[in-house]
Amino acid sequence: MDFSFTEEQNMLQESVERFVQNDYSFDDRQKNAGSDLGYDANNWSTFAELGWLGVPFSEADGGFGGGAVESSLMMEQFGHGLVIEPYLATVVLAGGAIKHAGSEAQKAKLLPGIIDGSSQAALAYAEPQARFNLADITTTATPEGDGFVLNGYKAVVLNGPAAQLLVVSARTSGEQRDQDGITLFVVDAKAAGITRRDYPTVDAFRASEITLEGVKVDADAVLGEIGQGYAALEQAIDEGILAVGSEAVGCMEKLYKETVEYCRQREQFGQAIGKFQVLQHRMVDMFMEHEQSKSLMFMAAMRMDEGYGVEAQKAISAFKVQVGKSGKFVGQNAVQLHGGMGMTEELNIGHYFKRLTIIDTLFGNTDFHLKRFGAL
Amino acid sequence: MVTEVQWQQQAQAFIARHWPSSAGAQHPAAMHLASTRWFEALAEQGWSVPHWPSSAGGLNWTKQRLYQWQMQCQRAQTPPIDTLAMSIIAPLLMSHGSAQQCTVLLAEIAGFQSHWCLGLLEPVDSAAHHPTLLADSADGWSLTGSKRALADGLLSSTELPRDALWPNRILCLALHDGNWMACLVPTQRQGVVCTPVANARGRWFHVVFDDVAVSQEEILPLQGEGLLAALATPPAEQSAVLPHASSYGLEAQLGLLRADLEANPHEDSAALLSELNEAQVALRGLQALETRALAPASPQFPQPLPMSVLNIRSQDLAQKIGALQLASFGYYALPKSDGLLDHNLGPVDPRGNSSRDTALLASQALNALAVSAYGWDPRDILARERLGLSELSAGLLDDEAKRADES
Repeated sequence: MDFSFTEEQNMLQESVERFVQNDYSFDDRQKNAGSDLGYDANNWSTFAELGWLGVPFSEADGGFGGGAVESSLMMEQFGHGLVIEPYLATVVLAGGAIKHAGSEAQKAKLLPGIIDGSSQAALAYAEPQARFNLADITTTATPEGDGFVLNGYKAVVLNGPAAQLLVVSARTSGEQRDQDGITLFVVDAKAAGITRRDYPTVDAFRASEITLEGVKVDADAVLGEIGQGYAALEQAIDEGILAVGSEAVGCMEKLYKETVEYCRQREQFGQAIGKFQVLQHRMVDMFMEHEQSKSLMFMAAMRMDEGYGVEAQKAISAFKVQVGKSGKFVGQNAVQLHGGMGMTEELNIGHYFKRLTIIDTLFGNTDFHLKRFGAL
Repeated sequence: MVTEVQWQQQAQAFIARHWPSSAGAQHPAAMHLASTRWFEALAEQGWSVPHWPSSAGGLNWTKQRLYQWQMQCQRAQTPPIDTLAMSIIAPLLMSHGSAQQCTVLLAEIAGFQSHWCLGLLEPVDSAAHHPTLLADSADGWSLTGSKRALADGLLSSTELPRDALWPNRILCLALHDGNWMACLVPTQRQGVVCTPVANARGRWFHVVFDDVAVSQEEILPLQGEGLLAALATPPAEQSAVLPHASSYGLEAQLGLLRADLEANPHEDSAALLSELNEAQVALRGLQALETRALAPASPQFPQPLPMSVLNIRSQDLAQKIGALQLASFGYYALPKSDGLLDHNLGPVDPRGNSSRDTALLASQALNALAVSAYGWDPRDILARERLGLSELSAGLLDDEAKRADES
């Protein structure tokens, strides 16, 4: 394995980097995060025009034909700008589940809307009792006529408020924590029987609690085989881990660089605080945490592109553990070195830290992935 | 033209020929003999310093090939070859030595014929008032003073015969008319007295210079602030130093430890296995950093990775593994493998050879600490060279000097 990149990958990264640097200010981000929609629809259209929404999908499905490396390169740049648009929820998670489980007909029907930006989607997989266990599902799908009836409750559905399309995991057979017997369904977010409770998350994204009461779906709403949805769900979530981990790497780079710059400028008792050796060492440690996380990011992405299996899963869990630890270290030190103003709403530092904290929890925290790593 | 695969096969064959696979399990005396033969074979093959430029007697190997070589060596658990002379003295000579110094001294170092010590600091009790002085004399120069000098002792105590430990050359930093100069002096020279510091396991020597004659050719051309700056650059950042492939050695250690824990379960096994998983994740991080260090320049990696980052990370991991080994081995972490009595052939621990592993890890850890003690804290260098805080550090020193003057 070596970390060399193709011309297309370099161009993709530079294109996203330019957008974030030139057209995605922190102030605009904050304004959009506080809007009714929770993000900027114009930015979403721009993402579609630039082809970014099609990056992880095959050319046959109308996408860019990119893989995990391309996804990482993009998300890392999104991390630099704390991009609030729901790329993770729509493209990586819901789009990923459709990509892995859907039939050709379903992909032809569902993916073009995601790729051209006209359709927002969400993956409704988490449940209150499940913690990080993807297989712990009490939502049921009962056969009725030619279709199914869904009943249950889905927690913290990212992008739930904006989604027109939900990919829902439900149990069609087996016990509560069995991996067999889980089926994925594509559900219209406005279907009868769905109620939503929307809220912002602490890192300024949007999510929903979703109740499903007698929601009727046709047989063609089933993604893939009945009872065999776990594998696709796990793969989509692992791709989500790589995506948010890459975003965290971008956040860490921004934090350590801004902290170094701040410590060069900020004076106390007549001298820049960056002169103090103890602070320099902390910044060096922040730099090293970032470098290590970024190196693991590419290692995990390349493992995923080699083929999804145990080795890729181990690489993903190792990356998530590293990102959890490094993100906490870099975030805490950035806030501390900025002093009290590191915690204010006006300065971006605290917002990056909040995002890093949430990323540690998303899809399983450090402890969870350390156990998973050991068990694989 | 040799392909990479062919070259790797050659390297594996060379190691198999010159380093017995059972060397690690041998009695220390046999181990020392095997180490000596290994060093001789390397020198004969010209592979002792492959990372040096060909003009200095090296092979100009690429970073990738050096990494492969290190990896093969680590897998076979061959003795480490990056001696103090190779990693500190040689790069200094290559950058700042005279042609004659390079010709003579580099060849000695490459052939493992000279063992150097670093005489940068005066003993604590005399540092304030008695710096080592270099004075003009009728026949050349004269050196007077004393130094507490760092040698390869600790590393060598597990890998080299005792008689090879004694340093036969010293780099001595001395003051001449307020100007710092470096003398490259044989320790057998008349007027030099070299005494090992008690309880330092051969690593530190007290060296006294009593009006020692020094020729012009034994003085490094680089002097003053430039000399101090060159000495302040850690060896890991100098281009002539080997890139590290330490993850492979550590991976082997982790594998042994896991096997030991699984074969000998006890009431703390579950907790130790959890910590072992953490170390395994850290190992992956180190492997990723090593891969990153070999990556070509790209928009993703516009700057090369400083070797200090690898050193710090591998050091952290080595210490973590060392602590885990100590916790895992229990009482069998106590035996000192190179201190075994002659009639005690073979490993003491009936379950394996764990105590030798512990000793090696301890020596790795202490090597890095000794380098830090000389002011080469890699974090200082990273702050200066990678985070651009150099002028701030220098400014601070100026400020402190100004305040001292005022007071």
